[in-house]
Amino acid sequence: MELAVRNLDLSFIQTTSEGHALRGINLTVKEGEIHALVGESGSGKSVTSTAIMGLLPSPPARINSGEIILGGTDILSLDEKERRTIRGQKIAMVFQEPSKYLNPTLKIGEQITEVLKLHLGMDKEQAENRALEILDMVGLGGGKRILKSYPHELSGGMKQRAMIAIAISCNPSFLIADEPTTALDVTLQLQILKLILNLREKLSMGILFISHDLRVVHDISDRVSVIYAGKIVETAPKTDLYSQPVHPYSNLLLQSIPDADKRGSRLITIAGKVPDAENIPPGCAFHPRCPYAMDICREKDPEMKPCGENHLAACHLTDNRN
Amino acid sequence: MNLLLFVLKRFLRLLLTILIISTIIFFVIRVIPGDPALVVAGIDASDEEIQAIRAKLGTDAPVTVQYARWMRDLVRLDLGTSLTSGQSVKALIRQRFPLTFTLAVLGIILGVIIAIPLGVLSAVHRWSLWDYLGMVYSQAGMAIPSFWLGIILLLLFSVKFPIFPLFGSDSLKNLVLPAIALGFARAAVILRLTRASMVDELSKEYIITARAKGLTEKMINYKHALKNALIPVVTVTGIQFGYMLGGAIIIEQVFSLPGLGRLFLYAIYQRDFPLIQGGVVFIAVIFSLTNFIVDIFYSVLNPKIRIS
Amino acid sequence: MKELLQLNNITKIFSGHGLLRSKHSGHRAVNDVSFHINKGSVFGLVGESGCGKTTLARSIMMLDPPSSGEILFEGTDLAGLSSKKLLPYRLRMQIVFQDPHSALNPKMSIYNSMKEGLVNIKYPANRIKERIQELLDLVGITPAHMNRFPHEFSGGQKQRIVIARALSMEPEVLILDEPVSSLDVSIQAQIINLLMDLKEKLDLTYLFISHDLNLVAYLSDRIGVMYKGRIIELGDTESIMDTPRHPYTLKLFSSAPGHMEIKEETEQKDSPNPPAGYSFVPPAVSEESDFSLVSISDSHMVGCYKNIGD
Ligand SMILES: Nc1ncnc2c1ncn2[C@@H]1O[C@H](COP(=O)(O)OP(=O)(O)OP(=O)(O)O)[C@@H](O)[C@H]1O
Ligand SMILES: Nc1ncnc2c1ncn2[C@@H]1O[C@H](COP(=O)(O)OP(=O)(O)OP(=O)(O)O)[C@@H](O)[C@H]1O
Ligand code: SF4
Ligand SMILES: [Mg+2]
Ligand SMILES: [Mg+2]
Repeated sequence: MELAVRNLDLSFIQTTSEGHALRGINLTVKEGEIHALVGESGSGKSVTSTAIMGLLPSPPARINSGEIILGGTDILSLDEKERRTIRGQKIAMVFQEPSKYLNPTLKIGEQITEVLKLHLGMDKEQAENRALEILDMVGLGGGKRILKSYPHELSGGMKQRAMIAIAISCNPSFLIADEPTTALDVTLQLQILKLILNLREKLSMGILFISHDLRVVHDISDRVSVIYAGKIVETAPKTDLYSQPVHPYSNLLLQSIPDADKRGSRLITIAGKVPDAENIPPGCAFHPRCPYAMDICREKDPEMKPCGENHLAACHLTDNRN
Repeated sequence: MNLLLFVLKRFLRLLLTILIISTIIFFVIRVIPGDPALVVAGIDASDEEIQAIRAKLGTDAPVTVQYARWMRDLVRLDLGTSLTSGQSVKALIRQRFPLTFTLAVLGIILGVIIAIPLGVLSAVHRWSLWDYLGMVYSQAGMAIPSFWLGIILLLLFSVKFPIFPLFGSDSLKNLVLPAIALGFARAAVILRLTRASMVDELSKEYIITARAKGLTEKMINYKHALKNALIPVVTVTGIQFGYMLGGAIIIEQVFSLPGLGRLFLYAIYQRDFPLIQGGVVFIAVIFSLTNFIVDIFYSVLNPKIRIS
Repeated sequence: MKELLQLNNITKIFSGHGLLRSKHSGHRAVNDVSFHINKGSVFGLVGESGCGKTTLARSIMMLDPPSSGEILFEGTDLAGLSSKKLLPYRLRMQIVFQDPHSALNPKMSIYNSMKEGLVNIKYPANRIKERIQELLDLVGITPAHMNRFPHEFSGGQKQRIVIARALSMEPEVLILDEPVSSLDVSIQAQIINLLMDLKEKLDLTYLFISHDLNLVAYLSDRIGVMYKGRIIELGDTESIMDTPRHPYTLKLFSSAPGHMEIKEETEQKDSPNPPAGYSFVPPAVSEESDFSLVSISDSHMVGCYKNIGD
């Protein structure tokens, strides 16, 4: 199923201030595509995904404008009951911090089977058998023991895999994975990435893959969008972004990856930090940290402009190119 | 299986606690200045008389011997003989305890029946009628002292409208008003905690997961949040129950009920040392036992406890 | 260089849940682990999820004392100390956990969370606020936000606060359990640079735990590779990176992301041979004692099983 986010603009209303968390997000994830959303901590990746799921508490969240179109329907126009039938079944989500997002007093088995019973009308035995299959699929062999375990009895990585198992239990047609491999070691990460690729093949799911790890994104995605301070600043097919990043931010991100070869020297970092949603700098939001900032950058927010095939970037440096 | 072993372990701990408590009580009573025999005998007693009382109390033997006797008697569930009535302490407690216990059980049941549903409903439907009702109740429960409520209840429902008897303790009907007086304030404590705990759980991340799964609000509230929210409530309810066993003293006075509270009060007035000593041990055991049961409940609700 | 921390045969068994625990029935989360960490160095511990890294870290901190073995801190065995005697050692070692959320009390402002520790070590009260601001600034959190609560920060921001709080105890040893795996690359780079700066400035010693071999290789002087509770390869970073010997270490190398398109089955590089007389797979009938770390050079050991009949 295709997902299109159009001009999604969202604020958090605080008593004394307003945080402009998303400033007109545009994002299209085609059916069967793995679209990665990368950016630093606090740039708005999780807010984007939870907004798509319709899970942001309102207040404080307020959607100022925009559309979220899943398989042709604008889900923002649906009422809560209609959205509930979509969640878990058509669109599912894997969260960033599994130990927080699993119920501590419910056995893993129950946390998986309850969705199957609710959405697919399975009985207990069917649901348990299906749960065992899914656990096996996510690499939690010996599923019977896992079914009977409580979250705290599993290691960080096992919890994350259980979380993925819950999300894919109903074969959703769209999956949002918010840092699904952050807690995993490389061998399991590889296994999960393979699993996600595999699921995409089988179910032609669209997948929004959120990560801050550009190495992981490199291995899994078809297309990459870079988000900064609540705005997409560059979007390109994977190979283009890695070989010829246009936006200075994308470029610096790529350079700051630690590597055995860089041993002994300090890593390249991006000075400063992501602005708070309450204090987005005027003009290009990246200008206080950008080594190439010009006068115009402080005044005018650059628009997304094409700079290659299916490749767009928002930076004044591209103005002079054409 | 795991649970069974856990229970066994806690039970051993319970025995250990009782051993320690009774030891402490034994020594505390010995350390308090003044010879019980002197108090019992009065100022005019002769040395021989005092000696005789000491022998009767067993306080003439060395402390180690006394302690050994005390422990031996405890194991035999023998708490000694009351000085004033001549009856065994055990028999006295056995006579009085059922009333106090029934009262406390009624009180806690009443409290829980009011507090938990109202607390949960207030948390789930915030700012609704339920929530206001809960708020009013918890304010009132905190503000009104139970003895005062007891007197008002007596005046209203026994004197003005004689629905319940004014005196007596032979039927359950006699215990309704005291149980209300006892449970009312305790319920307010439990209610506030239930609401706070439920609100807290509902703001946790696993609730977001439950929403993301497309579960109904009912499932989210009652299947996911409730069990987690009840974990602290169980502990507090247990403590409240303990308080009720002790707090019943005042209510027993107000309603002239011949319960444990009045027995021990009387023992203190009369300086009936064996009765005081036995009474304290008994209350301590009841407290530990309550704790033990709460622990078991707690572990059923909270799987994390069973591990460590 | 002096050994600051020496671990001898650390084993941690999670016995089932009963009274009737026996040494053999339990789950050996850490199995006979020995290595040392020199003062002022970085020891990197890598291994897959559930191999026992966190359990080992908790054992070293005596948060979860080991079932057997010695933890020598400057020669003193922590495992044998009373909790009172242990306290000063605990302060000299701080741990930053994998999971920032459980490390911060959700009901406490960041300021109060950090103040607690400082008050505990009797930091001058009139300088506490200043110190907290300084520490927050150090890790890249706007000091003006110190009165906010954990839920108002994103995952990465929270981990930075946790690191700041650990640093506030001015420890000598910092155990870093996946401290940057939830941080984005640019902050990760900043924190790593920061950790390296602090190490030089304060002569800190790190035990750096991660499943990211690239990161561990970048940071560490020595590396231990852990697999199912055991150290299966141990040595200088150069030696391990240049000539990894154990098949599992090789698997870690080939799984590192960022280098290839994921293929259905990543082809295995040819496994190198085990030292003569040993094998990497346990013999059919194996005893605990058959496994050992065998030196293959001055600064490199690999874990393997003695062949039967030798
Ligand atoms: N409930 C909330 N109330 C107020 N502000 C919020 C809330 N949730 C998020 N924000 C703000 O919105 C911005 C984006 O946060 P978000 O959690 O989406 O970051 P992220 O890109 O997912 O970061 P990370 O990689 O650390 O997970 C941040 O400035 C954050 O402080
Ligand atoms: N409290 C506990 N009771 C029983 N078993 C436990 C407990 N804590 C951990 N374990 C088990 O010990 C093993 C090691 O767990 P540990 O958390 O140390 O792994 P880890 O290497 O830190 O993994 P990760 O990379 O996922 O954090 C796991 O099999 C786990 O299930
Ligand atoms: S618009 Fe200016 S400040 Fe922004 S990224 Fe481009 S050059 Fe840098
Ligand atoms: Mg996030
Ligand atoms: Mg761990």
